[in-house]
Amino acid sequence: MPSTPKVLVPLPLQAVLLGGYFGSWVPAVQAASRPFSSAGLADLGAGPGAGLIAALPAGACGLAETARIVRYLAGESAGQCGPCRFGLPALAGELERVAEGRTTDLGLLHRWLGQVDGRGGCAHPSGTVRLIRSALPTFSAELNQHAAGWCCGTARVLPVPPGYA
Amino acid sequence: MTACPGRPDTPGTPEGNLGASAQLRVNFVACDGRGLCAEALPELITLDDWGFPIVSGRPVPPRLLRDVPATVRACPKLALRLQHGGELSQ
Repeated sequence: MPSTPKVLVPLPLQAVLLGGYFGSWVPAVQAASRPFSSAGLADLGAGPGAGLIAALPAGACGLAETARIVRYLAGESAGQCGPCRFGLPALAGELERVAEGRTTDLGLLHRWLGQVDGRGGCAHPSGTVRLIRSALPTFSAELNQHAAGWCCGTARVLPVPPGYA
Repeated sequence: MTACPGRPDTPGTPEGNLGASAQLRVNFVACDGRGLCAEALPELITLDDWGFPIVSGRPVPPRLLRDVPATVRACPKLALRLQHGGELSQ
């Protein structure tokens, strides 16, 4: 039986994740007027992907949210290919270090993004790389805040299964 | 004019044109990260931080084609292949 979808949009928004957890973070102001289509989002480096949009309210930290999602995606690896099996946990750990303000050096993160992207038997690792690569410019202000020793928000917004929170 | 991603630029040299038909491929499901390939053919294969091969996406230069079959045979997991155009071969 069809049911009316419940749409909860916390306002104001700072960013939206377009296309699901393999999608791209885009600042809310940039995405607001766009059609939700491949052509409408192409120049933002985004696309409809899985057809999902996640909204990030102003009070949440996009880096922390992304780190939680990446940890979840790392746990969902089939473990068949080395670059995914070892690379995704490494990326998750490094992104957690960035999100928790334990490092301001993104060198290792960029190195491992390059070593995981496009490798393996399926697109799981590449989708995760896409998510992280979109988070870094979208949340560049948060990166600077974390580098200065404080975080923009502690709310946990995007859902991950129990055990990954 | 935009470059076609599926067709790497091949310089007008014999090396570029001949090598365009052969590329190394890794089956990452089979690959166990033993690393023999990178030792045997360091000109074309390096290892990532977890010991898994990163193969150059460029065509194998003809001067190295002679070394490739032995490297392919050396893989204990049979995970390395030389691809001629659309065909895979050992």
